[in-house]
Amino acid sequence: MNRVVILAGHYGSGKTTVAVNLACRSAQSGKPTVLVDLDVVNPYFRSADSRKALEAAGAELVSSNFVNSNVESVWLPAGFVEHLEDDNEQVFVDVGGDDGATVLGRYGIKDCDFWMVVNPYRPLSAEIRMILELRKEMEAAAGLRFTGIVSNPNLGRETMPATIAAKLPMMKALAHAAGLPIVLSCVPEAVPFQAPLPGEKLPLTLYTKEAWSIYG
Amino acid sequence: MAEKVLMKGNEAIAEAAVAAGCRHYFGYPITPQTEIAAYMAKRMPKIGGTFLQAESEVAAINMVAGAAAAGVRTMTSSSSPGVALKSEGISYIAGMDIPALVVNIMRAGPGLGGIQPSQGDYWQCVKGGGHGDYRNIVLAPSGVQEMYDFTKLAFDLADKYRMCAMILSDGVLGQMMEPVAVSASDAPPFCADGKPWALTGTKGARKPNIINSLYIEPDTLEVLLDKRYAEKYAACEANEVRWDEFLTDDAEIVVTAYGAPARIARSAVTAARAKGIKAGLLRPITLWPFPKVPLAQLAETAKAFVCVELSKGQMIDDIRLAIECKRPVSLCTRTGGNVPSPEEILTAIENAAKEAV
Repeated sequence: MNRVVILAGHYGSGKTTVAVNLACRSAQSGKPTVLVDLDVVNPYFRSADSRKALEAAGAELVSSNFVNSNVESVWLPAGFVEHLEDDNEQVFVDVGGDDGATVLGRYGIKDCDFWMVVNPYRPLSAEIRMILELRKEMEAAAGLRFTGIVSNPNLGRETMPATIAAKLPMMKALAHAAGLPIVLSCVPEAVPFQAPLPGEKLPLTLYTKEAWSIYG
Repeated sequence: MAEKVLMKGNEAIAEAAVAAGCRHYFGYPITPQTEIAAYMAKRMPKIGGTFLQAESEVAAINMVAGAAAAGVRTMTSSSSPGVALKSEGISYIAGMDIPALVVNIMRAGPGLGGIQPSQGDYWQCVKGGGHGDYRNIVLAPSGVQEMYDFTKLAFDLADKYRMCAMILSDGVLGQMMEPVAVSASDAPPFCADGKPWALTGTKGARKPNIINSLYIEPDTLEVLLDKRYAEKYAACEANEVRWDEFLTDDAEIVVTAYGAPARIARSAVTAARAKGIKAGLLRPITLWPFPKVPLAQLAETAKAFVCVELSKGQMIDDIRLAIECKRPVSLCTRTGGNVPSPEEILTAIENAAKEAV
């Protein structure tokens, strides 16, 4: 894994969940770790909502001062560049959905892993051709080439082992068509998935639990 | 066979509209409903539809009125301050008897308020909002699947009654992601064939249709209004009332809530039952027409009602009217963009149970 890992993907592909999990795991292994919230698209459900979990794990969160404040607009956080230049730190960057990757162009990052998070249960990334089209848009917006795919097939709280298994052939075909490796395969913690997975298995802890999700 | 996908509530509304044959969307961005417009911007050009970001909310609703008059399925969406701006157009749509869908993903008000969820537009949407005597059909989904299902239903009801139908939802439901069973394929664009009143061009073969909301002569306008209330709105009240009940059969404390708070209220009712309190939940699905009859029936056996809403006591008026103030109704509310916890609602249920003894 490169010292700087940037996570981009379609809206709702799970970028923030993956980024928070990777940052917590890295910090827990003892590495100085920073999670940078570069989402300038959506003011709801942000990595800043997981601040407590990140702090408990020992990871630093770099997020705009305006997030969850009285400004109905999202801004780039100060202090990101100094973390890019600190060779001792593991840095994860959570980018906004789709063309939210445009913000990356401003930083001119050269040496990094740029991973595309994919959930094929999302309707606008349900087919390989759609994902390849999104890839092209995101790469053009970011001025970066993807270096890997994070496979994250899930139906939220209804995810079963079969939910994941059903989409593995497609994820492998996508990796082949895109000429990219599957670097991580996500499995929600509560899902007992035992079969082999492409890439490294990343168990996902869902850090944000909301009152309205306790239903029926 | 319906396939399951993972969707945001806002996306589910947009995708359902496409599946219902809507090919004309006019809107203007505002948090927390912008995904509807963003989704339509991507989807419509690919299926020969029209996505147009208007110069304002007022322009968007008038474009909807124009498209609706031409007989196509059309919609707009916004959040609270934007729906306030659309109110004039909604009144004109009612005055012209044309079908349209307006979606309100409510945020906290008044004024610019906040961007977090609220239900402060209950009066605005359920009681009209614009000027004049009129009604809108108002549907309140409580999950992402219902955002999808009720959007299709809203188009059907709008066409059936030639009225404005509204989806009244909130920032929680607009933004949350849940699995949704969607129809396998897109329906063809809805055509105006079944709408003999629509402005489709006479081709020299019939008298021109006229769609208008201006009636200068008092008697003409009064007759029209009387007919609208006696036929159209009465038919809605007779046929289109929808609601959901949970553990109400023997309920002594009846909780009422719609939208996202109904999900939390359901957890609180379950918790109250575990503590030996006979609690139940009535969730209005149509806010107009309002489920007056089932509420009045529950008032015969229940001891008290608890109204949960993300507003300072708006729906509670309709609860009191429905039960003709026969039982005490207490208000459990959070505002400003906050939502109550299950524990807060449980406390409200416990207090109502104590006072009812």
